[in-house]
Amino acid sequence: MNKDMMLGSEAVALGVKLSRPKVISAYPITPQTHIIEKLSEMVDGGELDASFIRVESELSAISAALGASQAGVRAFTATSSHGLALMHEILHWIAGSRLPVVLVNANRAIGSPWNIWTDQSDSMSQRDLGWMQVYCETAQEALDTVLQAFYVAEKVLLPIMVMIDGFILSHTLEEVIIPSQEQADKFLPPYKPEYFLDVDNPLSFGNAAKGDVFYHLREDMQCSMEASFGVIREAHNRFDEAFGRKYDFVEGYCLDDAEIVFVIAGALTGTIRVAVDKLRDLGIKAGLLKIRYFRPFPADIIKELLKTKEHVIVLNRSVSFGSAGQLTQEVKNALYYEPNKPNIYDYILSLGGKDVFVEDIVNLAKDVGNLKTSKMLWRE
Amino acid sequence: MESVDYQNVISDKDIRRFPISITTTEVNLTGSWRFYKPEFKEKISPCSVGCPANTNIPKYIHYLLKNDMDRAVEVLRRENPFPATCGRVCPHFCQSKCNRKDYDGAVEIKQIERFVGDYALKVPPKKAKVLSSKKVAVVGGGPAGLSCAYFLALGGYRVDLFEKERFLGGLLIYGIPDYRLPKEVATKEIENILEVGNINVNLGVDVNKEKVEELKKNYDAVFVALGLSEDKTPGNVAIDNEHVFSGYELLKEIKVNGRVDLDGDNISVLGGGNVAFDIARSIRRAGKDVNIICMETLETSPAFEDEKKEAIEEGIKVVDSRFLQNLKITDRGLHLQLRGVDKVLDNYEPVLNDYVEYMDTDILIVAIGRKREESILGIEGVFFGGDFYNGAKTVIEAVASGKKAAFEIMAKLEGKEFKLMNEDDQFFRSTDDFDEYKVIPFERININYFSEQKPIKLSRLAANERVNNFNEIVMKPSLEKILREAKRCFSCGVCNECKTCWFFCPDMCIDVHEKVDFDYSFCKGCGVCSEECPRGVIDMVEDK
Amino acid sequence: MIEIRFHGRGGQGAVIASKILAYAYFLDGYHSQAFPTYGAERRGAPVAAYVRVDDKFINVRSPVVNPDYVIVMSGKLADTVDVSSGIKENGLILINSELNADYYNFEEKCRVMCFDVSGIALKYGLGTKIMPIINVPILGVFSKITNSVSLESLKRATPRFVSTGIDKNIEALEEAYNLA
Repeated sequence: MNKDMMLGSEAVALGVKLSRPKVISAYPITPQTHIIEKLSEMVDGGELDASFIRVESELSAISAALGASQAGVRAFTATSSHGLALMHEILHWIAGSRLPVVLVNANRAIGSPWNIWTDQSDSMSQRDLGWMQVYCETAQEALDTVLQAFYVAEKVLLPIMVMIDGFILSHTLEEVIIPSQEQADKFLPPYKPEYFLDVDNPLSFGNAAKGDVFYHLREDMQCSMEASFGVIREAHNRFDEAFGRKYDFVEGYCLDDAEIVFVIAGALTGTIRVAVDKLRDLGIKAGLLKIRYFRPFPADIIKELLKTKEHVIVLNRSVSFGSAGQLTQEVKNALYYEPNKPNIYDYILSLGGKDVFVEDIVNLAKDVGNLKTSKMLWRE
Repeated sequence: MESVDYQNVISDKDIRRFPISITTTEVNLTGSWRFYKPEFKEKISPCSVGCPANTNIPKYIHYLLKNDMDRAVEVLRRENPFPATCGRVCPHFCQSKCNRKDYDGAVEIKQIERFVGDYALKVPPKKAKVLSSKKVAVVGGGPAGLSCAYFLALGGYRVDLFEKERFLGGLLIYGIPDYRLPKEVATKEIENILEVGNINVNLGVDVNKEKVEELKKNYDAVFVALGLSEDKTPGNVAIDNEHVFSGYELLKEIKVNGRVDLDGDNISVLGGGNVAFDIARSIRRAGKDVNIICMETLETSPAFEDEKKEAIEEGIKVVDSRFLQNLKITDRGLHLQLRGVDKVLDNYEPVLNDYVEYMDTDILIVAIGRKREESILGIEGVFFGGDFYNGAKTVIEAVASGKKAAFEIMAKLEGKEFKLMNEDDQFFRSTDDFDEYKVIPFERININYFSEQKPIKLSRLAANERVNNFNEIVMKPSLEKILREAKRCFSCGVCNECKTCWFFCPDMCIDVHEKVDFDYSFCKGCGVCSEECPRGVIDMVEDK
Repeated sequence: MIEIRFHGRGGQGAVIASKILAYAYFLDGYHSQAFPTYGAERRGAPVAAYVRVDDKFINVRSPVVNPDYVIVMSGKLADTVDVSSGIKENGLILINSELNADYYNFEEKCRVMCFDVSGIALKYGLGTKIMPIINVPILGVFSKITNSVSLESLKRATPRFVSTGIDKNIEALEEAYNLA
């Protein structure tokens, strides 16, 4: 097994390279990450046979990705925080056009005030676009998820946004098992779209559609999201076969007998794992549910895993102001019809890179008796 | 819109439909929404109006930039068979009308024309066919006569051309000094005119009034452009070819022999026109001290500005606002009595003042203009042109008058009405009457498409490099400079296939190839093309 | 688990040092992790970087608050930054300084060691007098005195993260190791 150490963003770049995209478009300046730096070096050095399109803004980057994908090739872009916000309009168009673009977003806060550190409000603001969303915990998972993302997106014909937490994952050096190109090629077949921009076979894309047509096209997007569960499961099975690593929509840790369950998405999951271990050492039956897929949201799976628990503390790293953390909304939604549903706590854990220590989580679990379900919870 | 049908292009029942339609937007004929429509209508550029021969300057510049030199030459020759000559000696009235003049400086059209003209020297025009049995006599082989013969020959008429001298060309060959117009250039250009065919040249034939009457009987039409045949002299002075010489004749001698020997070192030239300056500068090149005596002030004297400036640089002294009142021949030379001039009237009569001045000189050269043979002018049914008809003018004006006469003659012989305008092929758009066309003013130029850029600077030989030879003074600009200058042309009213309209058309219904074509099935008449066209080529008209 | 904290100023190479160290541990067969605190990334601004080492995969991603070792890239920094904060009992603070360890008087119960790495760096032409680049040689000192990471792995790890003067850095690394 070929192991190496690399930054989370470098692992993403490697995953992209192994996926053999034909077009990479990106805005190279702040808030960009090493992902694009590495990919541009790979293209420049001839390791990756792709067009690297350097553009003047994220709006152009995502537009170029749209164009490339519509032209029938595998397209990739990466961004972060404000850059993702700037892409917003075209993100809609890519989903509506049913183009399997893969985008990696380094989760970082959006101002004001200025803050360059990590939280998930940038991508949570983009949850309703028709893009699938996956949150990664480790560099390995990020690399693997990029490969899976192309597979899933191209089967479901909806784009995927893969999230890595800024700095705590994107800039952390850690070990990664390096897949070979042969393995990757075995897992991910070449992209062969049936319909694309082709002068010899003219079609019109995104032509005007009145409500009766538009309505049903949107219904079809939802159908595809629902159908994507099968595709994702298939991708996970194939991935396991090819690489020997298992993935699922969610991942439970010490969940079976847990009374207090933390729900979280992203790289902070690791810190919570350590906290769960400590709580178990203290005799507190804590557990963890890590959410990988936020879109499509695996509500049925989560319902089965959580319906008998006593306390569910949802650790949000973003807020839907005036409502709840987005993760909390989804978890509550999943458990709505359960007669003996757990106490669900809407906890805002970390915004703008506020540090989270194992002790914080341990104390939170110890204090669970004093928590209220009736209101959003913020740290002291 | 109803006809756009989204197909079930994906068969998988879960994935379902895509926003792709097999039908195209072509079913949606947006052209039906239109109530104004764009029309491609080229206009006339101010420079074309300024040019007496109405050369389509933007068009040949366009072809030059397209690296289609043969087309550029074709456009130039369509109006003027002397581009290499005019690229050197023409005062370029066009430049004074250039829309760029008050923006950042007129386009240096002269050097562009010279560049294309020099290319044209190597490209003889195509032979013309004989299309008519009628014959025309052209009297005078100068620029006017050659121009008339050329256009008649192109029109399919046979021409007999009569020239008094041993060579064709008139002032081009016998007048303008080599430093302004090298003999080889004019000679080659004349050769090229004759390449058109249909022109039978008769040299050494002196045509007088009787001869014109005879030609009138033997030919279907006669064009006379004899030029000016006799020197004017001040009333009290006679040309004796010892102390007093004719400037015209001396210039001729220099052109033929390459030199002239005058017995004296201190030479005075009388006159303020180009001939006066030309002879003064030519003699200066033999190392003599030369001064010019003219009635006008230096500023108002009729010679070209370049001539005056260069003459002074070369060390020629200009004694202006002076009238030669008396002249005494002494054993030491000439003693001149000059009177001060307050102003010169329109009929060239000076208004003298009381100032008196005396000047000694070895030789006086008279260059105050020439006269024509008036008796011929009385003959009816004959066409006249050139300096003979218009008085001393420029080469391009002679060319224009010959051209105009050729078209008048052809119209007459074909029994048609002569029209200055020829809307269809722009073969001859000519002179003053532009009613049917709009000339593009500066305001119609979409200035957003042009950044300020000064004209190219010309390299000239320094005065000390030129006073001992007859080399051309303005050096030929490099190709790079010529192209840079050509790119400055706004191309007022003339499509140069910039494709701005094509780029902006929201309905993708514009095709640009030589001209702009509109697909009216889809053109909504939004007017963006017309609004954006940098040069006013697209008009919006009501669509009925 | 071993937790290591670097203190440096922007431009001194603390972040690269943390990566080299983590990679060297990885080459020695451990699981490791390195990450910096990011702030105003300006030359001269204080920065911290962290390394964790364990014999199993490291999950925790929070900053190191209870380090086993602290490496301080310049002695002066120890005057202004609380470098000993949270250090474990019997932890070690390694300071690049010409001064005697006695000069530093930390509240925490810990060992302090000073070593003039700048002198070695300058000898090998690394950096300038004002800012010697000591991030590689200081790891040689660390390796020798802690015996927790091998010199061989540090030498192998260095070229991966250092782009210029690799040979000089490795020579300085060896000399620092030998002198420590």
